[in-house]
Amino acid sequence: MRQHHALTDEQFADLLAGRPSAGTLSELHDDADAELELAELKSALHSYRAETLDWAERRAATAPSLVPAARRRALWVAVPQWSMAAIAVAAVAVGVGHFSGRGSDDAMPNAASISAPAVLSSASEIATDNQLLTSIDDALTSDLSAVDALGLKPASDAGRHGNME
Amino acid sequence: MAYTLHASVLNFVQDKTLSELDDIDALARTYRPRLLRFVVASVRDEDLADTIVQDTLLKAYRNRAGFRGECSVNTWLTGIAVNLIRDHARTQKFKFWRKAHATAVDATDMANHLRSSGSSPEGSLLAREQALQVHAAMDELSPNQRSVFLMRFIEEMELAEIAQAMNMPVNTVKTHLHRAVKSVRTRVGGGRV
Repeated sequence: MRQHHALTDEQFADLLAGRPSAGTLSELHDDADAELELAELKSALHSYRAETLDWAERRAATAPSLVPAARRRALWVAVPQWSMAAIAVAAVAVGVGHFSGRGSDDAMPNAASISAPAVLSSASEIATDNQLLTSIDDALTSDLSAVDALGLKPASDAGRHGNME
Repeated sequence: MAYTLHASVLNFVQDKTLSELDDIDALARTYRPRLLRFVVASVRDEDLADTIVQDTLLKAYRNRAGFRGECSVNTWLTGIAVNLIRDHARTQKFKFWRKAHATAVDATDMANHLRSSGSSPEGSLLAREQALQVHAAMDELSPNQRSVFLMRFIEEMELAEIAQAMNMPVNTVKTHLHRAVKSVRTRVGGGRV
């Protein structure tokens, strides 16, 4: 396999770009192999340019509009710098507040978390809860009376009285 | 007098450019295909390329007030895309993907498009085969060589524009370009007997 490289790569690059010097052109005219090589490469580059641009135009035609993305970014940029800084400082402050008291208060219940449900409950809910508790107490008391009436007493009571009939 | 006229022309061009940048959909319509072609050829992954192109256009739109018209909009956008590609190339995920891709057959949508029937009138079998050879040859280039090669011969940008987009001296651009040409010559038609 013989490679015909009579023209230097610099000369060849100038020829491909259509900017050869007069000396390069005269060298080219004297060398049929070089002319053929140049013609082949020029043709290959021309085909590549045409085919790839055709492909790219087809693909670009189906690409979505950039307006929504540009608007989103514009809005993001439009947010004043000081407000971004304020948000960042607040986030850091909350983080520091949360973690700084954590070591010493681990064993203690968090007052805020305990009172939160009470705050959320309405007065009527509290009244309903109290009513429910009272009714449970009543029911338990009445159950004990029923046990007494049947003569069924706890074992401890029975032992104390020495009556196991 | 001549200076006044020149300044007014410059202002007109700048105003026109700024109004072009104010409409993101118009910006996308004009520049998306070329950017997509450049980014896909650079990263060899269509989904990643879509994301990079979208980010490029959004970044340009967001920073449009900072565009002073010292280069063309195309050069400016390409520069943003180059930086985003570099950012992605630094991620571990991308490195892993590149390693996996190195041993796999290139089955990207664009490569398949090149293999299938071309849409251009001159899309003969030979032309498609040559286009595929160029695509494969670029795989062998370093990221900088590939970017410079693409900008010069596919996007047809000037050396100074490439230097601006790549944020490197023109001489460094030339070095990358000549190495890329050497490699591509060997693989495309360079093996003629």
